Amino acid sequence: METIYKILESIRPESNFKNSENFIDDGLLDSFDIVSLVNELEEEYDILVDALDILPDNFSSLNAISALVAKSGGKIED
Amino acid sequence: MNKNELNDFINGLRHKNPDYRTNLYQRIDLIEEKILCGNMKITTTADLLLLTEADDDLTRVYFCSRNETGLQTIIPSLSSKPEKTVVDVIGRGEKLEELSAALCRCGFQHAFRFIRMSTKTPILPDVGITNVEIAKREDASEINWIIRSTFETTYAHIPNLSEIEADCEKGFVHVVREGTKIAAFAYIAIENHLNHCLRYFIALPEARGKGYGKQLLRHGFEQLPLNGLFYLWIGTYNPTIKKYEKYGLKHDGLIDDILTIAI
Repeated sequence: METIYKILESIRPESNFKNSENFIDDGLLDSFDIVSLVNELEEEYDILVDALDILPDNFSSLNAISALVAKSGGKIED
Repeated sequence: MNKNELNDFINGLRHKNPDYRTNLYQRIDLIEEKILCGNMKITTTADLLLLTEADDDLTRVYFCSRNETGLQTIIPSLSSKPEKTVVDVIGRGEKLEELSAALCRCGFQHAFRFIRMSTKTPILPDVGITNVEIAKREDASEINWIIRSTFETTYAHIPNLSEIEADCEKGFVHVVREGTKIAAFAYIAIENHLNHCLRYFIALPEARGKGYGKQLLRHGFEQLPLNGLFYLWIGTYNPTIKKYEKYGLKHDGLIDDILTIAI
């Protein structure tokens, strides 16, 4: 989780992800950020996220993102 | 092209590709369904997946493009009339500006820019007695007529009568009446338990200046749960922005650019 949090911070350093219940609804991540985030997750976890799964709901929280990483075959250790 | 083929094609365009551009954020199974129903058409080139969807009398364009070369093939790939074609791009900051600029280099032009204004802590307007009530299903025709006679329908997605009827039944539409007629209403879509989107907020010309707007806003704000987000999209040149700012709403950075084909 900490790795994902660091990636999020690198994409949007000004955003406070820890205080948000929904990153998308709260406007912390936009469509461009999602594309960047997917690229970073794929690189970090050596996975391929299916285009089918690139939907706002899968990026709305740390739990949702880590579930997506796990679904895509990534191993979350922290 | 079925769902899995779509998935593979998009992955081929985007994987490990920093130049990938898209405005497509719909579920692929829904896209597949729309293609099967004939509501959405698909075109592909080596660098582009292009989807066109009929929406009333205009065509909405969604794309997944490997790079700017792919964007350049959007307009040549379209079969509908150019003046009725729109692309919208939602985002913020430099990346949004870059994509809008790239689309303009590829033959599009800006038509409108909307900004999102939002708040979790609205300032309640000071009003006396309120006459706000929840619209009934039977009010839908009147609401439909008011929306369509007030808004430029070329670019905005206007709900059809059955959508309005359903939303009235869900309690999304709050009205103030003068006699038997609706004088003003606020159409607030509750997207999930926290998100309240003010989609339409209209007072008929003869009903303006009577405080109905404040009553409706206060009523809408009072429905917002703790930590809920109240938001709306508004054109950048709309003078009402200042009024919303008075009630605690502010531009949160998100922008929706509507582009049409340059004539």
